[in-house]
Amino acid sequence: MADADDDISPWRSLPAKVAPVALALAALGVAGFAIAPLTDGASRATHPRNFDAAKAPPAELGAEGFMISLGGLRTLAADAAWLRANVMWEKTDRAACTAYARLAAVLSPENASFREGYANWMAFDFPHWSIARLGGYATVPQKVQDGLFRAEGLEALKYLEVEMAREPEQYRYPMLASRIVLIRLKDAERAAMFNRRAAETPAGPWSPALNYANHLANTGRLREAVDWLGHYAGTRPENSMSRAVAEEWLEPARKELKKRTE
Amino acid sequence: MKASLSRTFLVAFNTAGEAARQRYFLVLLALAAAVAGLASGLREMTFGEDLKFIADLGFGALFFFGSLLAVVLPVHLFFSELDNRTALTLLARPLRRGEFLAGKLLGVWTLLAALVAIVSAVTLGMVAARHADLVVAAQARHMPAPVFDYAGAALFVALQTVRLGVVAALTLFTCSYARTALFAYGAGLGWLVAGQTAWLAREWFGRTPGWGGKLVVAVTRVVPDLQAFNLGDALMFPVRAAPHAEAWKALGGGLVWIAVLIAVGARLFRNREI
Repeated sequence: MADADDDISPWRSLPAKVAPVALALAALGVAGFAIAPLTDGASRATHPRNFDAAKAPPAELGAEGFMISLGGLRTLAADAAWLRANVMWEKTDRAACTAYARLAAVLSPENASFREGYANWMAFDFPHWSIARLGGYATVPQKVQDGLFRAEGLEALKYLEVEMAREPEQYRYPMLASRIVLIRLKDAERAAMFNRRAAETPAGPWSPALNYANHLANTGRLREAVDWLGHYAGTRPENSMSRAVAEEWLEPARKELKKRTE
Repeated sequence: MKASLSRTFLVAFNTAGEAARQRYFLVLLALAAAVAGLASGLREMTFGEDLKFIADLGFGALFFFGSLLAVVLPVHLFFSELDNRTALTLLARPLRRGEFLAGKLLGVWTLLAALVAIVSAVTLGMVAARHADLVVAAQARHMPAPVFDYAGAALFVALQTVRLGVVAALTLFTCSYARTALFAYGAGLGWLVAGQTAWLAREWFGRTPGWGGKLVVAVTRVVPDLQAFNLGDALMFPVRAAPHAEAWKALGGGLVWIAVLIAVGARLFRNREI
């Protein structure tokens, strides 16, 4: 029988080899807990706005988490996905187009162009593809065509509502929603409300503001239009195009109001 | 203390010189700078986010090539000293193993800082040129000019320098107990991935009830949270207040991590047979 000293099994020396490394790792763990207050805040600040890792469903945490870990590289991946979505759009392949467009949108949550482009396709291109697939405009009854336009418009609007809730300060989503509601759902009042929403965002341009004021004026609410646009102009910076355009619109409108009261 | 610092800097100086002579370092540096330089030409590929595309491509190249070098350089330079037996000669002199390890880190880190400086200068130069064009175009159309925070960008460059220092320190910590260079390369890359995804593991397992989840969360603290240095978007393209305070804290945290990793690595290296 072999003496214990003669035992050359690597297992015997394992604890002696592993113990220092385990101790070193334990020391790193202690240091990690001590340093955590310094780094945890920065780590959380890398998450996209309105993404709460603690409350996100597991699937979303997995996908978003992977994207967040990619850092700036994800924007490049998003651009590649969007290019691919455009290739699929050329082929009128709706499923692939949707998959790539949604991938681009997830990869780059801060870029409104992808979401805007995809909602545009949904509302204004996809119904035409469906009609073509069903046999073309001559074959498909007008009622079915109208139903398709409406259904796709509603779908695009649903998609934009989620984005508007996620990014309430982005004016491009309500502007597009306004167009979709007007053209696809034929609802001028609701379209006007979306224009107002776009105009009231901090960087909102002047065109939705004028659209809203025009809608009010054309539906017999000139006083309301003047009051709202006057207030809107006051919230815009001095010498800005928004203010100048609003003032230009307000001048004849105020005269008209005065004439009516006289 | 002064003598110890002078010995450490001597090792650092020689390490930096040796690292700068490595062809792969020069090739990867040229590649990273070229990718950053190409950003301006490739921006046609992007969709209305020119500045972000240029910054992402340049700093993405820095993230990728820098991380690769922060793992490869320390392992190569550390094990070449052991394989050529020059470490034996060095450590036979009044040079402590901690000084040797710290010198190696400082030497490698100097080269990594040079990489950060060159790639960042190319990237920010491209961004500044494009930003000036976009501001003029926006003024002509009475539109708001695109925002790019140069102070935030400078802070992000500092964060990248410290991040690469942390990765290099992690790799040198691995070298202090690794028997082969191959193991050190593999473990170094493993640490890198673990550091980048540690926050995700914490969020994921933090929800798991019971001790299992808590244990995994505790284990993730062993590795530095590299995600904390990924603040590029928030610092350069701030939508709301840029997280400057968090960035400064992360810088401090990174420097503390480097000191801890070298101190613990030196302790392991002291008991190691060469």
